[in-house]
Amino acid sequence: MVYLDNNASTRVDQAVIDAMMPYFTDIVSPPSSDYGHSFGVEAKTALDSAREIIASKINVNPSDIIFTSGQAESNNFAIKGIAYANRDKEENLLVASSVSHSTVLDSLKTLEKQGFSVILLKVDSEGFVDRDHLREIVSSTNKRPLLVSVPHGNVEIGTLENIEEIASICHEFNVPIHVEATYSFCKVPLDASATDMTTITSHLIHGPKGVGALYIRKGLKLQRLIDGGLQENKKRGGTENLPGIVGFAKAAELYTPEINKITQKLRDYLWNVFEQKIPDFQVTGPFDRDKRLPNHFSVVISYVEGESILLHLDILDFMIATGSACSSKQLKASHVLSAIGLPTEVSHGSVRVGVSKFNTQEELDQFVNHLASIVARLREMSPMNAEFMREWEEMKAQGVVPKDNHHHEFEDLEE
Amino acid sequence: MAHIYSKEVMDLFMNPKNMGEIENPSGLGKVGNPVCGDVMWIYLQVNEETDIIEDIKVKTFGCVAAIATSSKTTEMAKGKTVTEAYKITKKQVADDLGGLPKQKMHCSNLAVDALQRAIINYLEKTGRSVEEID
Ligand code: FES
Repeated sequence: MVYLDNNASTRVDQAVIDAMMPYFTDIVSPPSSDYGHSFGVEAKTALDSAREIIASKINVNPSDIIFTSGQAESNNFAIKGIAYANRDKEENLLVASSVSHSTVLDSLKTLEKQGFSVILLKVDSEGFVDRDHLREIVSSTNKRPLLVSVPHGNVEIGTLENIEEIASICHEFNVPIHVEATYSFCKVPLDASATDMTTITSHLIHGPKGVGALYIRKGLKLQRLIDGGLQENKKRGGTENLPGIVGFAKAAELYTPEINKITQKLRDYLWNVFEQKIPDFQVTGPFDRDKRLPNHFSVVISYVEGESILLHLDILDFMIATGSACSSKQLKASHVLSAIGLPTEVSHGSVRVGVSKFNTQEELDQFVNHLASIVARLREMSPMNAEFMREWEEMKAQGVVPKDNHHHEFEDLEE
Repeated sequence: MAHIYSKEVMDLFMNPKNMGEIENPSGLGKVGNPVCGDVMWIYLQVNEETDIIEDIKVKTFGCVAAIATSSKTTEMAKGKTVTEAYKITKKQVADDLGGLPKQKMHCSNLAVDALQRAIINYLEKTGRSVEEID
């Protein structure tokens, strides 16, 4: 098995599992106050030290870190927490990048149904937030946003946003900023103290699934989502997932800049081999490698469809990801690929690779060789080619494109 | 290996049937558009005396199900008269494939559509209309 989908999730390091084990089998108490029994105190010590490790990774105070069940909860808490805390205010605008993660966008959809207003920021063709659009919105005097949420690293196209710059635009107008740093945590340095909230997660850095954190700037008012206890500074009820949190901290400790050098080298190697062996593809996201997540490579390959590529590779034991409409549950192209302006027929050929320290150059060579023959095979049976696309563009320009959009009529298919 | 698709679908996906094109076909059916995802072109070679589909080829741009259903549909149509082939339904295609995931049922729609359009095109070329066989 060659796993190349490391921006979806990663293999847990053995050292992380070892660090977690005692908290499953020996120190089984929930972290208690300093006056509890010794297991409770030991658990508390472990929790505190994990919080310190995590906080230092993003340059914030440990007391401002809340452990959560991961990305989705952190993002829901950040966005709904701010919205609900300001429910009675006249301002009710929430802003996010149009390439934000679905856990951000779906939280906003829920809030929109409850009467909040939502604006999505325009992005350029590489996925960077349009600075003028942002400035225009945060500077508006009659409708100042409650929050702006932007991704630091984009999971689909690798875009690394300049958070310092975005934060300073927001702060110039006293608008708080939430940063979704799930995919960049430990991979790219981030000074979260320049932000008001930052989401981070464990399972993309060889830590366990189901644990993450939210940094919340001291003094920022959020309404908590989970009632029922005094845990996490009274911001999140429920017994802490101590084995998970210990594993999270261990994984963060182990994910050193050295690891990034390894993955970046592998990624660059892949990029070069790709250019030599795969005809007709286009990189999605920044072309400048330094403006991408270090382990991230993403493309659209012309005239072929992503799900077909994915399953062919799977049969050969190689695992990648695609944003093709055909492979999505709703049969819709990825919102990120649409937001950067790719038409659906182009985003169909989406392929993305996330490498990890467990991958090797030989694996990447094999992968590209397999991919080259799969693409050739699929192209042979595809009616699409350069000529077809030219005709297609003309038809689009003339507005005579046929309208049998069967992806929208799949409800009628039960008969 | 864990897949959402049936064994029949995966087999045809790995070894698709009747892929390619026919020069000067007796009938050609083009369906879909790349915006919704998929394009399928079916080419027919029909014996004008007997109306039997002697050869059939297909070109597909689409997912695993689209490739498998275009293979299956063309296999089912080959050797049939155009009247018989016109009556092949997407349900028959899906059943013959051991079923399709619900979301992917529409892909079989596409293949049957392309076949029907190719037959209509053949009928038109030979001065008939679909009502005559329907
Ligand atoms: S071809 Fe798009 S879902 Fe089947």
